[in-house]
Amino acid sequence: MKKMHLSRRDFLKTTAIGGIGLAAGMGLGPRIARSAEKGPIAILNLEPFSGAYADTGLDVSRGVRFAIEEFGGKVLGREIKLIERDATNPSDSVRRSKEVVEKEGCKFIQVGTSSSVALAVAEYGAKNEVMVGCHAGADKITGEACNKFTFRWAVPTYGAVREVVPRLIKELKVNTFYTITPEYVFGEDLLRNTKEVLKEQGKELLGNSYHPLGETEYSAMITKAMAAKADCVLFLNFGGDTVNAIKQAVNFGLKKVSKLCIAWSGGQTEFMAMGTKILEDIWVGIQYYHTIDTPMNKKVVEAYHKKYGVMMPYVAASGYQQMKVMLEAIKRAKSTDVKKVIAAWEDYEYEALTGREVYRKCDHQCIKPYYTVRCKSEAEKKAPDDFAEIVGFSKNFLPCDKTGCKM
Amino acid sequence: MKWDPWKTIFQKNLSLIFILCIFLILPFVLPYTALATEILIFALATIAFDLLLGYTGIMLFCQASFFGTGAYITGLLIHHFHLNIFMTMGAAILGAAFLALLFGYMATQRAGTYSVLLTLAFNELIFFIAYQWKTLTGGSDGLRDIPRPNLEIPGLLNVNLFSETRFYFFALFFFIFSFILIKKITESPFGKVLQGIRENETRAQAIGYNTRLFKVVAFIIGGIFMGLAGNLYAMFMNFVDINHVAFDTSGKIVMMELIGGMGTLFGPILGAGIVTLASDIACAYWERWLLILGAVFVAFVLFARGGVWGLIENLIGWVRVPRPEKE
Amino acid sequence: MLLNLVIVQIFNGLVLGMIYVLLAMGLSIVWGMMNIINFSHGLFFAIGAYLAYTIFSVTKNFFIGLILIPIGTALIGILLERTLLRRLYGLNILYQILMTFGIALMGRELIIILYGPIGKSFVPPDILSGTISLGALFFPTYRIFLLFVSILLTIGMWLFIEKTKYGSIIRAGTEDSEMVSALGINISRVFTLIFGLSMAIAGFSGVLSAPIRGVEPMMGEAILGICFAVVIIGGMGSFLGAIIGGVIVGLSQSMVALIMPSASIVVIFLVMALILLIKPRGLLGIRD
Repeated sequence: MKKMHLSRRDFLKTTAIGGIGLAAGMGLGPRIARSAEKGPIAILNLEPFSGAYADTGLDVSRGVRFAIEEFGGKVLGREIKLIERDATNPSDSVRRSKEVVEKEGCKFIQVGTSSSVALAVAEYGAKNEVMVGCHAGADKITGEACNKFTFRWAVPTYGAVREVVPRLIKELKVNTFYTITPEYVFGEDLLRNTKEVLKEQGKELLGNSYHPLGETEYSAMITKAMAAKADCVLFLNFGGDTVNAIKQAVNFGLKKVSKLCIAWSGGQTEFMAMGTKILEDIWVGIQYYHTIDTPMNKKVVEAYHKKYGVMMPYVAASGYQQMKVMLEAIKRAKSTDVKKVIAAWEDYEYEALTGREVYRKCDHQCIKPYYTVRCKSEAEKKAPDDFAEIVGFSKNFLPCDKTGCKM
Repeated sequence: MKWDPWKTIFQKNLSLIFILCIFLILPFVLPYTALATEILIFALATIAFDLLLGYTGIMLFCQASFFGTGAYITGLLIHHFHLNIFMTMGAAILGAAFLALLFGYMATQRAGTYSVLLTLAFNELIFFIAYQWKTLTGGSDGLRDIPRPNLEIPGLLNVNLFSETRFYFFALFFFIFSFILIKKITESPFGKVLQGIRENETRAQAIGYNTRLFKVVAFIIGGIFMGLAGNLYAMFMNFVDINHVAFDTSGKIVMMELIGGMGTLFGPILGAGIVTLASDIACAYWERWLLILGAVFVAFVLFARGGVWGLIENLIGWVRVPRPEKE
Repeated sequence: MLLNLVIVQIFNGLVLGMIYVLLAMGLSIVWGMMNIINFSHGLFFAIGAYLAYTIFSVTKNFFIGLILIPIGTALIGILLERTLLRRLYGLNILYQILMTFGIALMGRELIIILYGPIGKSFVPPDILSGTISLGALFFPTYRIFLLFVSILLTIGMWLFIEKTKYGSIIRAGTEDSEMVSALGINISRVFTLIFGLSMAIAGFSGVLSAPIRGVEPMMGEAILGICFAVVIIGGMGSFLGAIIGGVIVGLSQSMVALIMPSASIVVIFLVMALILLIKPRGLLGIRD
């Protein structure tokens, strides 16, 4: 068998041509991005418009647009150019970011609900001095993975669990728990925090079942949960997984054995997917619900309902609130210079949907309440979309020096 | 008549020079540089795939495994050890080549479509291992925090590659190098045997070739360059996504190959360019652009199996490189 | 306590396994007869499930779906076979495989366009909801129904393949399709029927599994990967192999889920790799 020969001439030719090209390329520095001080302000909204979280993508988009409309489509006298891109997985999201940052000189990104996407884009933002507003829940985003350019509205799992679990213990008098957890950084965070709270409160975790993200078969976990006979079964998953898990759990008759509770929910969207019959008497933790009693919330919910015909879901509120804060920071900074906007954004308290909020300086985490709701029965509902009532809320955050964030 | 060396070089390598020119101006012609790098890296992966499918007639679906393994090895070495860029590249290529040897050996045990199924299942295996082994690969979150290493030859050279443009030219160098290598392979006696296997494996065996050995070597060569592509991609993205080993990536490469034109080496480059550009433009207009891509793909399978390159060839009437037509 | 858990999980594993068995049967006959690796098999599973969702939403009758939908998926399958696949006969098998790949891609996007990108949930019809309890054990009624129906169908398929004329054509074709054609049988019509039958079974499995798993656009692709593992484990071209493979995979998935749920899928592929090392043709594989 004759092997092929790469003759010395060919090799030299190749290297020469390549070397010339390489040298030429190295000589060229980074491409000059478009000037960011004149013309429209580009804002990139990276949301999942396909895949498992696609419904959230649409809602966040609505919220973001709502905020921009409130501003009249302009800030600092310049038009706001909203660019929306599908962000179903981290590498596509980073690519889209590269595209828009290079093409439009974009300096402001809002990124969606998936923690892995948010982490990847936040990292990109930090390296390229682009501001990133996150909607995802993983503690890391304002913890060890925090950076100067990233801000996050949602209460991380620490605060979520510290509202919901003590509330359950207090109101429902439950003593033993069983958890169902997705194997995902986010699920791990929820579980870790749950274990800590239960220890503090002197309550027992009888067991935990893990499941892969996107699981459709919950029979094993539900069987184990039923065998454990805990006072409360706490679901630590989210989105479609929660919907499937809860439905199957109710189907298996788990409600007869234990109280069911969801620690983290998308709220209205998930409620609509499950339906009152399944949801009845389940306690749910959420970032936001449309029945929150503040003047601003009432106003915005009504306007949203007028425009879209539905009660504002959590992710839309998240998109709206964070976009609004971002635009207001730009306005206060009187510039789109990223360093000035960051300075204007951090530690500034403002009136929000949930009351008074502030993004604290040490980790750029928004200090806001987390809510627990109880799902109503068919008889209690005053309207088809009146799924739940708020039974409690509180603000719980790690002190600055304990977050692991070093900015 | 005086012998003009430059004219000879020019004539002999017309196509290569043509490609080089296109790629030299590409980043300045496209709306953003990262797009050009994306095309470049996938063109490399698809050319490697072409060696297997277009030239040897081996249909496989585990190309993402090779690509992704190269990417993960790169990511891990840089993230944990900050290894020199060339050593990382070598390790990534070795890793992918080893996997290719393994899969190639098992898949070539018998001829026929069963081996296609096996490669598919192997890809799923690698995917789920990567998904499961979170401590190593980051699972579905992926491997983050992979700072782009400097172009460093200790004692000689230390160039920062942070700028997209610089990285593009770095990748281009390796692309051209790989392209020339693969082209030489296809034109060599070894390459001719591969094409013979594609045309009629039984006859090749009858002549006395150990076709299985050739096929496994083809797998390894393909694995090497796909691993290289994965290595470049990890440094390009500063990130390794589980998608890099997923069936979707295998499928993407298949589409680039068919739409571009099998068995031509230039076809895959075209295919990578067309698919990447089209998806980039289309995704801004319609989230469901994949439907169009799928339809285009189906149309090509039905009516233009030689891909765009084949169409161009038809137009110009050049001598065609034989494609796998009849069984 | 532990025994109860194990018993329930064996039950769940069998239920899961029967879905895989049905799908593997369909994949196997198309591959055996036509040498096509049908990437769109998962799509028809999804179509079956989505159609079940639609019919149930509209008519509130689940059982109508169980009968009508397989006919529907068979017809769609036959349509695609005649218009698209048929053109590629005689060419390298590669193109037909690629065609099914393209169809699968388009089909999935179409589902998203028609039904939206997120999954929809589905509850079993009232007659079949609830659980049957045996002592401390709970068995959801619907799953018992599923097990029952799928076993019936499998037996039916077995009878068809072993005892009828058409079945013997399939068996012969799986061994040597050229010879079957040489015997004067209209092989092209047989291909169409085989494809239709395979899609009918796929659609049927989709309808059956929808109340348990819900419907979501990626469901076809997700299950297809596992089905490929099933046919490799059981042995391509073997009917019994599809059954054994399906049951093994279903059981292993559910038992591993008890111990380490996230590993339940990767274990399937590890088992597959192991079996390939020992028996490269799969447990009962006949043909290459």
